[in-house]
Amino acid sequence: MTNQRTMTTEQIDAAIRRMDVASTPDPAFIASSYAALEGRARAARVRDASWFGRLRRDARLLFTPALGPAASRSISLATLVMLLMLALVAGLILAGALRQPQPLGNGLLIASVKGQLEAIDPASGSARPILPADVKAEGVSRSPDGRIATFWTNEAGRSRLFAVGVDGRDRRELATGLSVTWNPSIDTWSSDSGFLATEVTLGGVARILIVDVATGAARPVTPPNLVAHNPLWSPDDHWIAFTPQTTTGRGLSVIRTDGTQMHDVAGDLHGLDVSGPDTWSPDGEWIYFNAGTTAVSHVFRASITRRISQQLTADALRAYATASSPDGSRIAFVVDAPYGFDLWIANSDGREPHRILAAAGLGGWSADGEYILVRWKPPDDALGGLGTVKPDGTDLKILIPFDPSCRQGWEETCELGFGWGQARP
Amino acid sequence: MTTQTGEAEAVNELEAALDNDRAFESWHRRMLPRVYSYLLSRCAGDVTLAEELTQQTFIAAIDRRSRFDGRSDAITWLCGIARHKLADHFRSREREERRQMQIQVRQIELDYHARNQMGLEDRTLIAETLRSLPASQRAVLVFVVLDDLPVGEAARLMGKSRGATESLLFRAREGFRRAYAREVAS
Repeated sequence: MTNQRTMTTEQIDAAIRRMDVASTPDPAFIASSYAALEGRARAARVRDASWFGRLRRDARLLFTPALGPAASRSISLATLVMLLMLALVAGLILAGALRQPQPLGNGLLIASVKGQLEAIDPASGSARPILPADVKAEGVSRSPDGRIATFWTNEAGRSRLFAVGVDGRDRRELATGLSVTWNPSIDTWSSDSGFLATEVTLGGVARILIVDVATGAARPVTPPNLVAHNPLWSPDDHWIAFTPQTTTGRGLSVIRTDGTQMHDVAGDLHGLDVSGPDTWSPDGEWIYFNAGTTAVSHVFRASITRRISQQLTADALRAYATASSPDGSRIAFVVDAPYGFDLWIANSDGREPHRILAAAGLGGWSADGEYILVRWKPPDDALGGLGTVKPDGTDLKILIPFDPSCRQGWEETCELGFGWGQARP
Repeated sequence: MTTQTGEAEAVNELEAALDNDRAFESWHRRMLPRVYSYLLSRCAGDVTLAEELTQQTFIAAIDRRSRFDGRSDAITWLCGIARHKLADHFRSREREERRQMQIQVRQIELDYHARNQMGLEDRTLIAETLRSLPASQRAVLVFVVLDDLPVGEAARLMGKSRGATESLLFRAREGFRRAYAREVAS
């Protein structure tokens, strides 16, 4: 030990350096640290898998060597100029690619289970709450880029729309300037994840509302004297498809997002009522929908350019709820069965229809087309829940199992809405 | 060529760790003890503080993963983040000390008395001595002596001028000398 008289600066420093020894953390701390970081790492994974995340990583990898300390200034500058030119070319290619949206990674499934908003990893089935349990979230949707979830709360006769990051941060209310009542349709996102289309009652009339998710600003897009249901964005984000309801029935129309050029696209459906536009083909040419009466229901697709419809399912089937695969090659739909519905799949023109899963409702496709979201309710009522299945009917996986305390027909999963970033029936 | 391969591997190390749950757990298990060890020795043996700063370091690492360019080992990068967390802590303590100087001095003295009854090892004595110093003095000793940073770099971390940091380092060493002697004597 050293005393005050003999302690030099070197001795002081040496004494302090003796503190620098290896130590072992408490295993309980390691476990709790991991548990606390697990969700954040998953959220990071999802963000990195988005196109923006991939672009950022690629840009970083491109520029890192050029900025390295070993590179001379002139080489760095030349490399930077070359990379900027490459970036310009890549940007033009990217802009072109964005006009034809490519399937994204699946990302998190966002669902409201007993009112609690949860982020579910479809790969592992693990779930984590996004918001406190006291927020009763309904009408859930998720942005195509996987970063934002929106949901409605309906309390004391008042509907409020919120957005929140899928990591639970940055929760904010949208459309605060309007007093509306949410009509339980499925909210859909523009492909750039910037806008949400939703159906609300405004001034006593069902109307389509477009909401800027970044600013919260909202405006109705359909005329004030027209009852309009079930909004759906076009792939190029310029149009909204919806179901106008008049005294003569329900049709299928489109309208530009500035409220102009509204027109019918379904053509003559021989007296059948349209349930609503379900999904839009990725090339923008077709809108899939079902139409029927109390006795029949068929799946159709309407041509945007020709303004006619084609029936895609056989007269003998009562078919509903069509979802186009992200690449546009196939459609999934459900068919009436004695115990509920069966899940079917066919080519996009309706050919080669076949059942892939019995006792299953349809929740849409994953962004990469690898999976279909289903509500599986087997006839024996022993198992089931909200889950995924491959388009060939294999690899059925339940993510939200049925809960006996929530037995209300097709809502036995206790969920009050879900979103996977894709339009769905 | 070798350097480039090393960089690519380092980039891949962090990206691979975030690729799936198992990889992240393995990476976390490998890295956490080293970050913790780095921090514990610089927190004068304060386990709670070291754990808290370790956790903050990993959170920041995930949030700032895009800034990891792979030019250093992941552990070097993590310790760099940890060092900033430590600097933040010292700054915060310094502000707190200014507000509650009288109360704190009294508490430290009582604490020493209790611990001396238990008989302290030499390293514990050094830790106690360090802990008795004001936060700013502790910070400059940690950064300059333990981390071997140039005074200018330590000054930048602490948000002080180079001159003020040199003066602080002198006072810190003097303070350590006096406090250590006091500890030995007691």
